[in-house]
Order: sequence, then structure tokens, then C-alpha cells
Amino acid sequence: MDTVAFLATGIATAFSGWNFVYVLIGAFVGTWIGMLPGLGPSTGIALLLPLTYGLDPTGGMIMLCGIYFGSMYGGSISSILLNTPGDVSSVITMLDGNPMARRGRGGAALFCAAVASFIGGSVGLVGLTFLAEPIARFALRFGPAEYFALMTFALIATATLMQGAAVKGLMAIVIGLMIATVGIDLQSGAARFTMNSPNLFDGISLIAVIIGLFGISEVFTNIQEIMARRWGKVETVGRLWMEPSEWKRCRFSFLRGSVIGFMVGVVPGAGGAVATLLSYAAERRSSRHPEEFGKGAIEGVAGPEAANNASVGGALIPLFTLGLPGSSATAILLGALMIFGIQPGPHLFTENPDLVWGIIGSLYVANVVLVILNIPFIGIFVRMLMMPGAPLNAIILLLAVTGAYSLNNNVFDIQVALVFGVIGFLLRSAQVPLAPLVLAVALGGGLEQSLRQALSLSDGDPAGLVPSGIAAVFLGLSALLVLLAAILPATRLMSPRNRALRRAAKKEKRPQTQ
Amino acid sequence: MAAFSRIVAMALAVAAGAAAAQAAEPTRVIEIIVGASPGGGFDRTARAIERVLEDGIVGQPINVINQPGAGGAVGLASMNRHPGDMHYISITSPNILTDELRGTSPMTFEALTPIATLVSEYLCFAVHADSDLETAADLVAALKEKPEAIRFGFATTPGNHNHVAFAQLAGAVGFDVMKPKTVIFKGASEAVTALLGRHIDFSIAPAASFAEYVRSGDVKCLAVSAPERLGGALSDVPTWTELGYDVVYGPFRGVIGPQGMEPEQIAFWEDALQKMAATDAWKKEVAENYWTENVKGHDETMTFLATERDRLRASLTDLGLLQ
Repeated sequence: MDTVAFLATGIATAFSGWNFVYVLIGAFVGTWIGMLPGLGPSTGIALLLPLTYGLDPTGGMIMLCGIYFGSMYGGSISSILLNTPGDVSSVITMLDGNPMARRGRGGAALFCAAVASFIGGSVGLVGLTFLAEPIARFALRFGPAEYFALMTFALIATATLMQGAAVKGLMAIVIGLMIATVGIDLQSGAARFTMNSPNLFDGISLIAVIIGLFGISEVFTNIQEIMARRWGKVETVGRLWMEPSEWKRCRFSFLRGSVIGFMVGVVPGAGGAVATLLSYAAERRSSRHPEEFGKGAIEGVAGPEAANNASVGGALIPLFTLGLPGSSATAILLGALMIFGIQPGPHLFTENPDLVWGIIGSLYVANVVLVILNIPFIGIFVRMLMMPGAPLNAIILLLAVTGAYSLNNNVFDIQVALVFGVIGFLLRSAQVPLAPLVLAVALGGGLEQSLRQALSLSDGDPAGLVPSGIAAVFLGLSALLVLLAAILPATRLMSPRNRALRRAAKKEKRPQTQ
Repeated sequence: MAAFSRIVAMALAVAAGAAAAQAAEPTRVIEIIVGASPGGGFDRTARAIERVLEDGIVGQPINVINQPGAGGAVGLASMNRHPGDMHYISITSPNILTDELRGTSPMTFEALTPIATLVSEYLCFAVHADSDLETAADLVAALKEKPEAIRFGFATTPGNHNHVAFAQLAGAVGFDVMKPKTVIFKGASEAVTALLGRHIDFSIAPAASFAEYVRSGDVKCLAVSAPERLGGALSDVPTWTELGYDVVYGPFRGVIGPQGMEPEQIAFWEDALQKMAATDAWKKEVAENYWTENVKGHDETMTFLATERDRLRASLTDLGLLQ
């Protein structure tokens, strides 16, 4: 059978028996889970995994993959409307999605995110269907040195997230990298900054940091506004659909984001954070309105949302072809396969074609279901913006605390979230951008460990950091970006526009939240 | 009067006996607290135990609760907040010994109630299929002649079972365990990725991590650290003992309860777990995971843990991880 025939049977599987119901449940529940502040794809899948144990392997995996896809989309809703992302990959969507919502373009932002998710999801799935075999082994070329080069490139790209004073942006990145050093060091086994608390041995949970910095500090900011009688940030929910000019601006963003997301998704360990970050940087670099980024540029929603969902198809390639999970979400899917009694590995495609193609087929179906399911809801979701302050704050706080607890069933994570809520509020007041901080926390651990792994393998010889073309390309690009920023102050990374942005930011009464 | 008081005393004794008997049997939902995330190795062990036990061995429903953190220490601490309560059990591994030895956890196994040992998970010593190291003898020769040229990688933490097995090989063969370039990966699949991509030359991991790649011809398993050959895809792989090196090591998995459990409660769980180990469903789990059955009751497990701790202390000292 060729690929198309396999895919056809896969889609048939998605519609047979109860499977279609599982697709629907997965997509629907996933969207709602993803929408809750603090619950992203990996937490969502982990949380709902036990519910699928009673199902047959195909049905169970179909439901989990539906949840995976659904929560990817759902994450954009709370980021855009409430400024409270549930996962690091939707932090980027928030940067421009939330300003759009404040301008009365929340409906358009949600619509754009839905379309972008659909296009990205489709590109990722087509890539998974037709390119899985040829590029499966590409992922293996990423060793510690290549991974370090990619992470360096991504860290440099966080510069594009900076708003206002460059020094505050750099401060945010340094704080983020410092947070990432907490915990038992992988290479030496030594405990660093753990204050002898076993709860800190695995480091400070990234998701708890996100819940605190965005969700809980958003509540503080809201309270401040209510007390200053400035509540009611959005006068109107605006028109729900995208304007023709908006379509025109982001048609290529959808495609660029999809391709970037898919390629990054294939690389083990990179995941949604790097995919959305690189897509955002690419959009800002190629846009004719780079000064609008961070203030509600629709491309900033379109590209990263497409990248986010396209990375799912990419991330499933090493999982299905080699049994190697490249992200925390796929790691849980791998565990689920084993619990269902299926041994993932290089034989998965050949020995369980019905299962694998059934999952792929149902992902295609879930992708369509999500669009159909969610576009009619946009009008309802947008009304969240009109909610009075007090109940909204109570709901965000409740969900943030529940979300933090559900990470590890541990009260400690709630404490972390609360502490970072206060830190987030203070940093916002000082106009330190939070997005680069969170991205630095997300990238810091991998960056440090891959550097040390690569140097261990080369006996400390720095040449060991460039063992291959891949590493050379990413390190070269990183160096180029830094040089450009240093030599040409007129380049988009740096000053004049930022100075303009700073002036504009000072005029605004509300502190910048990014 | 004397007769009356005797009757009262007897009634009290009967009541006390009934209470004791009642305490030795679970009366409500049982929680298996897993110190790792859903889908991981510990979680799979717990789910396997849950499935088999619920199937007619224990008369109460069982929930698996995941409380990951600190290599399982967070989950164990949380279980230990229910002293003497047999409704809480957890899965244990050599981590409890190494954490104590390395001072990363204040909890000793004596502070909890080890109930039983179930299986041992023996380890594969693996290289890439295209590696120049064709046999275990080649590996031994390479490690003896030029250990610093070997790139050795494993998951998940220094001084764990994979690392200890390497130290034991070093002791048996006679090379300096500190010489090979050593990198640690976050999870077994990262180590497998690095081996498949030839970023490292050699790795050690539980047999199940490599079995599928041996079957597909991507990885060569040169030897296993088991007392006898393993089954499935690894049935052709020699043991180190066969090759003349005394390397027999595999992390155990067992069941542990909170502090202060009564002998009757321990006996209930020993009995239930023994029944579980005899079922076909459990034997199938054992085979699928390339485990080796190693069933021990409470007393035997206590002795075993004490000797194991001494053995690990020696290995960790060899690895320079303990003074």
C-alpha cells in the first residue's frame, strides 16, 4: 500500500465505531483545557491520560492526540483575551494577540489564531504523512553541539521580544537564565540553589513560573486598575471577522510559520517554545511594520500560532518512526503507547500501521473539527473581555492556583506561582518585559546542559562545539545577528525604533505587560 | 464479680482483635503514590500493579496518584505523611538508597516500610550497529587500552544504576572509570537518540530501552549485566558472567509503605503482591519490560536493602561521588 492508501484507511479508522466520538471529545476537551490559564498541552495530556486507560489503544491514542491539538489552539484563547498563557508556546501569541484584543480586535485575533492553527496543523500533518520516512533520521543529527547551536540562535532571537529599554530586556533574559540554574545539575548531580528542599531538586517549574508571572500578576494589575477606577480596558468587542487588509498582511505569515514550526518540531527537544519564538522573529524581520509588533500586529499572532500547531506534526515524526519523543507532550504520548501495550520503536510504523495511520487520520479529522467547533464560539469567548473585574479576577486566580497544583499534585507549585505573581507584578511596574524572561527560563536548562555535554565530549576543546554543518550554520547566524546589532544601530534589532517605542510606552498609562 | 470482669476482659479482647483484623485489610480506596510523571517507567510499573491487583486480588478500588519530583523523593515524603496507613503504597527503586548515600534525601528506607521486592531490571551495554566495537571483548579492550577515547553517555543522573554498572565493569576489567568522556542525558530516550546519531560511542540502560533498537538492527547490545541471559530480542546477548567478568547489577523495583505499618498490614500486602506476581497478567508485564522476577517479602527485602546500600556505597566511592 502506498502512503495515500494508508492515509485513506487512517481517515476511515477515525470515522469507524466510537473513534469519531473520541476525536470530538479530545478536540473539545483539549480546547477547554488549553484555555484555562496554567494548563497547556503537556499538562493537559498528562492530566487526562488516566481517563483513556480503559479504551482500546487506537481509541485512547486518538483521544489523546485530539487533546494535544485542541489544547494547542485553546492556549491562544486565554493568551489573547486574558493575557494569561497556559504554556510557553502561547506566551508569544499573547504579545500581539492581547494588544489586539484591547484595541477591540479580539475576535479577529481569535479568528486568525484558529485559521493559523488549522493551516499550521495541516502543513504539519502533510509533512508527517509524506516526509516522515525520508526525514526521520535527520533528527538524529542533532547531538549536544547542534542542540546548543540551535538554542543559542533561539536565545538571540528572544531579543526580538524586547520592548522598550534594551537593558531591561537583557535583565529579563539574565533573570530567566538564573532561574533555569536552580535544581540538581544534570552533569554533576550537585544541588544548586535548592536550599535543601526536595521540591526544588527538579528546578523551578516553568509552567508555575508562567502561571505566576502572567496569570497571577495579571490579577494584581487588574486590581490596581479597578482601584484606580480605570477598569474596563475594552470598550467594544469589535467586529469578529478579519478585515481584508488583515488577511493580506498575514497570508504569508501562515505559511512561514507553518514551515518553521514543522522543521523545528522535528528536532528533538526544541518543541513549541523555539518554534513560536523563531516564527515571531521571522515575522518581525520580514514585516513592513516592525514597529507595530508588540502593539497588536496580526502577523505576530498568525505566524507563531501556525508554527505552534505545525510543530505537532513535526514532533510526531521521531516518535512514530524511531520511538523517540522530542517534547514533553510527545514523551507522555510515548508512555501512553507503552501503557496500551504497544512497544514504540523503529518498528511502530511497520508493525502497527493500523494504529499509527489511525492516529494520523484522526489528527486530520481533529484539525477540521477544531475549526468548525471553535469559530462559532469566538463570539462567546470574546465576551469574556466584557466581564466585570471582580469575578474575572476570582476566576483567573482560582484557575491559576488549580492549574499550578495539577502540575505535580504538589502545593509547592502553588507557592512558586504566587511568588512569581508578586515578582511579575513588580517587574511589570518597572517595565521589565516578561516574555524574554520566560523564554530564557524555557531555553536556559537545555542551553547550559548541551554546552557542557558538547564540551565533555570534546574534552573541553571549543572546536567540539562545531562538529557539523548544522551547528556551524546556527552559530554563524547567531554571530551575524549579534554583529548586525552591534555594528548597525539602525538595524531592526536595536535602537531608533525602540526609542520610539519607549516614548510611546511612556505615554501609555498602563505598564507594558510584555 | 470476678466472672463478670473476666467476661468484660474477654469481650474487650475480642473487640480489640476484631479491630486489629480490620486494620489489616484495606477498607477504602487505595492510593499508589508514584514519584514520577504519567507515562514514565515508575508510572508504568504502578499502573501494571494497579491493573493486576484490582482484578480480584484486593477488594478495594485503587488510584494511582503522580507526585513527581526529586527522583521520587517528593512522592515518598508525601506517602510518609500517612504513618501506619496501609491505604498508601508507593514504588521503590535503588534511588532511595543512592539519595540517602549522597545526602540528597534525609529519608532512609528504615524510616519507611519496605513491603516487597518484585523485579530486577538488568542493563544493556550498547553501541551503535556500525560501531567498530563488535563484541564485548572489543569494548573491554578499548576501555583498557584507551579509555579516554570512549564517549560514554547515559541517563538520568550521576551515580544511578547505569553509572554503578559502569563502575562495576571498571572494577572487573581493571580500567579507570573516571577516564572515559562521560555525559549525562535527561532521559533514556535522549541517550538513545545520541547513540543512534553516533554522538556517543557507548551507553548503558535498562534492557527495555534498547531492545526495540536491537531488533531493528540499529543498536548492538554487547552484553547484559544479568545473572542469566534475557529473553526476546536480547536472547543472543551474552551476560558479563559468561564472558568471565563479575558484573551482575540491575536496579530493583518493589513496593514500599509509609512508616509504622503493623505486621498484619505488611502481611496483607505481602500476600496480595505474591498473588499478583503469580498471575499470567503480571508475568506478561515482566516479559514485555525485560524485567527479571525477583520476589522477596518484607524481611528479605530489609536485609537485601541493607546489603545493597553497602554495595552502592562502594560503587559511588569508586565513581568519586562519595568521599
